[in-house]
Amino acid sequence: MLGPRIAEAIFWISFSLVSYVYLGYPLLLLVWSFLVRDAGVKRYSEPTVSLVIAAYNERENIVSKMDNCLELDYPREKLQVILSLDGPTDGTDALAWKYASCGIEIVWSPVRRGKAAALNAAVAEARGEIIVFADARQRLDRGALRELVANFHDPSVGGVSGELILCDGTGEEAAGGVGLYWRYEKLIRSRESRIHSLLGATGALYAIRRKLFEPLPRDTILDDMMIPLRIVLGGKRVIFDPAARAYDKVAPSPEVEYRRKVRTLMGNYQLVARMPELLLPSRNPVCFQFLSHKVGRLLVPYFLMALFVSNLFLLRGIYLGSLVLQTAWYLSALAGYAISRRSPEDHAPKSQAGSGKEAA
Amino acid sequence: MRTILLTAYTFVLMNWAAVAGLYHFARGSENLWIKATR
Repeated sequence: MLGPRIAEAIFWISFSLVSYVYLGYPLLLLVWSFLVRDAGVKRYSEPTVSLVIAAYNERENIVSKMDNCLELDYPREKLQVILSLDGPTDGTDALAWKYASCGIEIVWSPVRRGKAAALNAAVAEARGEIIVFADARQRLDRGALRELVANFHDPSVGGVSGELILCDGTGEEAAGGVGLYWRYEKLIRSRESRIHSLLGATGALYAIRRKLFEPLPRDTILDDMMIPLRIVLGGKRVIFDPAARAYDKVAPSPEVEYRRKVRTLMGNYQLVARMPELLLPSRNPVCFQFLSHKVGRLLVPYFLMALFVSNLFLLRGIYLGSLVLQTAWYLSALAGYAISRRSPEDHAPKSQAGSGKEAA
Repeated sequence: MRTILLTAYTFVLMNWAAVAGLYHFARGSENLWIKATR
């Protein structure tokens, strides 16, 4: 049994940390971002670009993705498109080879080696000054490459992340549930970018200077965090440009987003284990942001549990109010679970475009 | 009301993902071709 003093201490420590991660840090970023840096200057130019797409079993998406690449607004003679196929078994390669005659360069592995190995193989073939990474599923806005590369006019910029817009079934940007969560994330990322750098890029669309790429370990989970963070540790900035857009369907249910999130957070643990210098202010110029945003998110669930359990031993005054609020919140989550189970089709996108009306 | 309930559910689920992520990382159970981040 917890004594009241210990329970109170645990309650307030937990409350402070959770509040800081979800409210205090974003508010601090908001103020900080207005004080320290401007948004940077873009200058439109046309350096050579290698667009790299790594794919495994993407039969459903590969044709639309290749068509999308060929429609991009960028001089064809300055754009190299590399599709790295990692031992697909669903016929993706048969569909992809048809695009070789359109100038798409295909790097093919007969066996599956993982995304990091596929990216390494593709970048080894890249000739562009700028490498743009994209995933097979999301559709890129026609002008996305121009917007991304315009940021490299600033020599301090080593990488640029585009914006991923999650659309619902109507083609509008998703506003509730997962969509709301994603908007909140993007707000934080845009502020972090203004201050110094992002802590990771949007895997759907980001660009780096080719000379800054270092081959990834084969079992890397989050290539789109490891590549940008290496650049930041190397002394360059990685910024966010919302004008460079990619479109995707919002996850059809919170459970789908949950599986993605588990893997993302697994990747965060891997990053901290592989790159412990991220935790050192002397090595990492965005150490404070990394601790507040990434490490904080890893710790919050345990502090939420501690907050609730400690509250059970404090049933008076404001603590009683807090317990009522927490209980109401978790009961709401339970009701949300029931809704999600009962009618998954209600939040499933109804169109197959996968791109939103803006991209279409 | 529905949005609030789904937002509460999403919030709890996303937080639980951190616990599950640690579990899977500790077990080394990773599939290299599942899309992770956005």
